[in-house]
Amino acid sequence: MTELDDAAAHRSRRSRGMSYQEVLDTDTHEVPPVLRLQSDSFLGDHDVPVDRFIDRAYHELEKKRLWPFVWQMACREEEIPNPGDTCVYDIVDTSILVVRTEDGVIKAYYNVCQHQGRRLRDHDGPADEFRCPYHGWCWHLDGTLRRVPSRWDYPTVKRESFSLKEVRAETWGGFVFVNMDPEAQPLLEFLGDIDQHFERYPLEDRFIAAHTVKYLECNWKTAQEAFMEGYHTIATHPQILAATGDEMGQYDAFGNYSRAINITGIASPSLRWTPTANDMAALAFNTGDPTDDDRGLVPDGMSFREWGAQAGREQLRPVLGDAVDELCDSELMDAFFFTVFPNFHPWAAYNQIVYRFRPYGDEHEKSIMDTYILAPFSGERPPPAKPHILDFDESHLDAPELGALAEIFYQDELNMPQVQRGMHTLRKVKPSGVTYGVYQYNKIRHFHNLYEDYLGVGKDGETREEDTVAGTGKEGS
Amino acid sequence: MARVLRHPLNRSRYYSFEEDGRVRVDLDRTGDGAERSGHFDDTGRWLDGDLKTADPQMCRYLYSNWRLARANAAGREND
Repeated sequence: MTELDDAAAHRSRRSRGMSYQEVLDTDTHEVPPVLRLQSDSFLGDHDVPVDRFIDRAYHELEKKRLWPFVWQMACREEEIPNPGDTCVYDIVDTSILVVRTEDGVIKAYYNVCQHQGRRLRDHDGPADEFRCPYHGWCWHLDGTLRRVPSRWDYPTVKRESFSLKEVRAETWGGFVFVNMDPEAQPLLEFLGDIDQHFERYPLEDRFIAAHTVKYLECNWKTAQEAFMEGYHTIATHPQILAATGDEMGQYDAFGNYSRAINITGIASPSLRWTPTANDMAALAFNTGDPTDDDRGLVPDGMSFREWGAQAGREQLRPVLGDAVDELCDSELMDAFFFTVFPNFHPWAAYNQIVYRFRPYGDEHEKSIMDTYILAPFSGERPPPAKPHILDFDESHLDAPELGALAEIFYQDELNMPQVQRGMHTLRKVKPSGVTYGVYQYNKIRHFHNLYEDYLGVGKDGETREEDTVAGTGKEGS
Repeated sequence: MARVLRHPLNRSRYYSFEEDGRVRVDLDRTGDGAERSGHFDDTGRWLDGDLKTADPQMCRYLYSNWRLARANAAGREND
């Protein structure tokens, strides 16, 4: 047994601040057992080579061994509520068409005309049939061939062999996932026991209140890693340190998903002063000037967490009713950030955020970051917000619908392209690559361990297996 | 009145924004008569003033405050 496998030694390597579990001990409400779960697995302390972020060969390997075999979130069910509604999901050089068929079932097809290869549909929206804009070949919503102009000229075309090529489509939490591998394990099996983390706040009962699609000048993994640890708070988001236990969070890995819990309402252990509850209230709610200690936002004798949680309950009460009284302080104050391998990031409780990261077309040093704000609602489901595209030369500040989150993202945007550029230099001067933390990078290490399995590469990037895709049992092509 | 933020890790520095979006940083050395200030852009690049360094991410945050405040004000005018 190594020192890092020893639970006591592992604990000693945690932050000098309170642990999340100790914070839970102070909760004014009953804490659900799932928040008491801890994964103490040691996921490694090795460096990770930068090639996988900057080398085209890794992008090609992802095209061959990752994207064709993994479940990917394509859209929300609410975006295709009626028969004939479609959503186009593009991943690298493959386009997939998701549709609700006439009997209400959600199906997915490769978005390509079987005639001459034109993309069948250019964009989302309702359709009575799938008619190629080029020569007019046409398919029913169930994927069967419907019509071929100049039918006499195509003697080899048979209805039964010219259906659209289907892609697996399954749902979880109101999301539609697709998988190009017909032999892939079912989505719910892939997700394992993730439902236990969301059963108190089902994501299918949300609607898209906002959806931004930001183009970024960095690899998709560079982008998502900017959001997968709280360690960067001290330098990237210093303004929130007075109300954020930045290095005190909890990181867990379970099967194909991982969880980060970041604490709000406990000051960073890096501060040399002690913020008051009112300092925290002013910062967290952006309602006052934290240079003024006498605002009196929080009643005497009440902690900021207790006050903030109660404010959160009252904010949600019109939608959730008295069920809000069952929510503990942590569920209303802290951030529960999940990652489902490889690129889907739903937040639990009422943070309302969901991210998805993927390459920008076939370009390995550019990416697309989708941010959904999934709000709870009562009564009739509101219509989903349309995607708001933010081009490379725009920023999240151009999306005021994100509110204060835009300010946080704007800070992250400063880093991501510079990390991408910097890694080209890092490869020259430090061949071992990036040095991740042992604990706070647990989610990221978990991702890379799975990534290496899918791609069939060693941790040093030198022992690439050419013949099989480890972890999937698939033959490489 | 513009928002003033005191840097949580370097409490002697006060961050605010000007009407044109420049970020102003004031160094408070009350008592030694050496108060200094400087202006910076949204990446922390020094623009003018006798204070020449600032936390780029605090500058970015204050700049974003200014941007959103300006957008909110424009929205109110359009209502």
